Amino acid sequence: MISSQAARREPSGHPALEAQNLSVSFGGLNALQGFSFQLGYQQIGGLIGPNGAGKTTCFNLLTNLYQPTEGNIKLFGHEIKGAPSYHLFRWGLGRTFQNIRLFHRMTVLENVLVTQPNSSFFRTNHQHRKEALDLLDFFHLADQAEKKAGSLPYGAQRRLEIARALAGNPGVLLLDEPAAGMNPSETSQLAEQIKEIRNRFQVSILLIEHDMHLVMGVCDYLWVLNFGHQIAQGTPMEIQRNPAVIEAYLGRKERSEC
Amino acid sequence: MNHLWRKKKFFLGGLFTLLLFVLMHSLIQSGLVSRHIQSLSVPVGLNMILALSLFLLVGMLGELSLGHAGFMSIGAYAGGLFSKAMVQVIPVWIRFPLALCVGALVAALLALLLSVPVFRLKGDYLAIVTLAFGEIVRSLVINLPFTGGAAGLKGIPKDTSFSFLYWIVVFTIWLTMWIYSSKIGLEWRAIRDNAIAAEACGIPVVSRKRTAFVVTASLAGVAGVLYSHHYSILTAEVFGFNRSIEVLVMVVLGGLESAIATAVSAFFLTIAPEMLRFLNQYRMLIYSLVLIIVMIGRNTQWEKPKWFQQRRENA
Repeated sequence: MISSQAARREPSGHPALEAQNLSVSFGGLNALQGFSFQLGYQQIGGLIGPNGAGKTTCFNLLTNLYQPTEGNIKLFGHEIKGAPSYHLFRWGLGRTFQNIRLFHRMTVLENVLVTQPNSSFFRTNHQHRKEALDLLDFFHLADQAEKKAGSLPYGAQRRLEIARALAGNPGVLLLDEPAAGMNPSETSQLAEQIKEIRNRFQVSILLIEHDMHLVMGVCDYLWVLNFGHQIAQGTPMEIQRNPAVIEAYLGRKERSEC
Repeated sequence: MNHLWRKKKFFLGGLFTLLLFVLMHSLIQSGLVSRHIQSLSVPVGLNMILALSLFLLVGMLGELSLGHAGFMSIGAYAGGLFSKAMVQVIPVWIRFPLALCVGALVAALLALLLSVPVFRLKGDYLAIVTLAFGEIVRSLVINLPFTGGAAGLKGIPKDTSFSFLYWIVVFTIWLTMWIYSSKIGLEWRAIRDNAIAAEACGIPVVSRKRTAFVVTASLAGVAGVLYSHHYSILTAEVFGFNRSIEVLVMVVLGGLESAIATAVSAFFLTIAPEMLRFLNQYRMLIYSLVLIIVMIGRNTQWEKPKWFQQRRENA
C-alpha cells in the first residue's frame, strides 16, 4: 500500500510507473502484447502510434478498467494489479479520457471539489473551496467556477478534466489525447501548461497524443506502438529518425518505385 | 464571502420556517382554517418527505426506483406494529420517536439487503427489480399473519400531530439540501453524470449507491410511520404501484436538481387535485393537462431574473 502523500513526492528509487510484459487480448485479437515501460520520477513520457495501436487499451489496463491477461503494473514500486479503479486514484494515479468524461451537470468548482482526497466525508469547507479555486485559477477557469461543466467550450472542458485529476493530488497523471480537437494556438498553450503542471505539481506524466508537434516538444521519452507491439522507444530525436516508426506512420517504400 | 452568504441564508431560512410554523399553528388552533384544509396538510407533508427521499435516489444518484411505496409500506407497518404493541408500556412522547426509528431502521435494513443484488444491475433493470420489490411487499403484507391481511391493520395509536409532521418535513428538507452540497452528495452526482469517470476519480461507485439506497429507504420509512400514526388504519392497497409513480412524477416535475423545487412540486401536485374538485368528472382530465403543460414549461430554458443574478454576484 502507498500510505502517505509525501511518499510520492520523494524519489524512492522506484520508477513512478512501471509495466512489465503487459498483454491483453479480446477474443482472438491481441490488443497489446508484451509491452514494457518505465516512467521515471517527474518524467513526461509519450505513448504514440497509429490508430488502433493499443494506446488507450494500455491506459485502460493501467487504471484497471481492463484486466491484463499477462504482465504486471507497479505504481511507485507497488503492484497494483487487481485493485479496484477507485483505489488507484487514491494511491496517486490520475487520468483523463479521450472522449471527455466530465461531471457535466455539476458546476466547474464541484467537479474539482469532488475529487479532493482530504475533504471530509460530509462537508466541503471554506479551505477546500479556496484550494479548488486556486487550482482552477491555474487552468484559467476560476472565473467560470459557478458555471455548469457541460456548458464550457471544448478546450476549457479538456483543461477542467486535467484539473479534476490534479485535485486528487496524484503522483502520476495519464493524459489521453489532451490536445484532441484543439486549434494550433490552444495546442501550443497546452504544451507549455503540461510542462508547468509537471514542475508545479511534481507529477510524472504519461500522455497519448497524435499531434507530433506537441509530443516532440513536450516529452522526455517516447514509446511507439503498432498493432499492439512496441516497435520503438527513445528520446524524441531518436524516434524521429527511427526507420520502423517512419514505416508505421507513412508506410513502406515500394522497391519498384526506387 | 461565500461562507458568509451561506450563513445568512441558513439564518433566514430558519427564521422563515419558525414564523411559518407559528402562523400555521395558530391558524389551526384558532379554528380559522377549515377541517378540509387541515386534513390536507397530512398528505402534503407526507408527499414532500417521500418526494425528497426519492429525489436523493433519482435526482442525485440518477438511478430510477419504481418501488418507493414499498419502503413506505415497510416503515408504516413496522412502526404501526411497534406502537400497537407498546401502547400500554411506553408513554407517547417516547413511543412515537421510537416508532419513527423502528420504521426507518426496518426499511433501511431491507434496503441494505436488497441493495446487495440490485446494484449489479443498471438503468431499466434496476427499475424493474424495484417495481417487483414493491409488489412483493404488497402481497406479503396481505398474506402475512400479523399484518391484518386484506382487512387492514387497525388500532394504531394516533400519536402524530401537526407539529411533529411539520418539523419532520423541515428536517427532511434541510437534510436533503445539506446532503446535496456535502461531499457524499457531490459523489452521488458525479456517479449520476459519469460512473466510469467517477470510479477513475476515486469514488467507490457501488458502495456509494448502496448508501444512497439505504438513506432513501429509511426516509420513506419515516413517511410510512407518520402515515400509520395519523390514519391509525393501514391497508396494503395504499402503498401500491400508483403511489410510487405519483411520487416519481413529483420528483421529475421538481427538476431533479434542487431539493426546494422538489418540495414545492410535491406541494402543488398534492393540492392540485383538491383545487380542481369543482370540475367534477373532468378533474383528472384537467389535472393531466396541467401536468403536461407544466412539464413542457419546465423543459423550456428560462432566464434567471436580473435581481437574482446581481444578488449572487454581490454575495
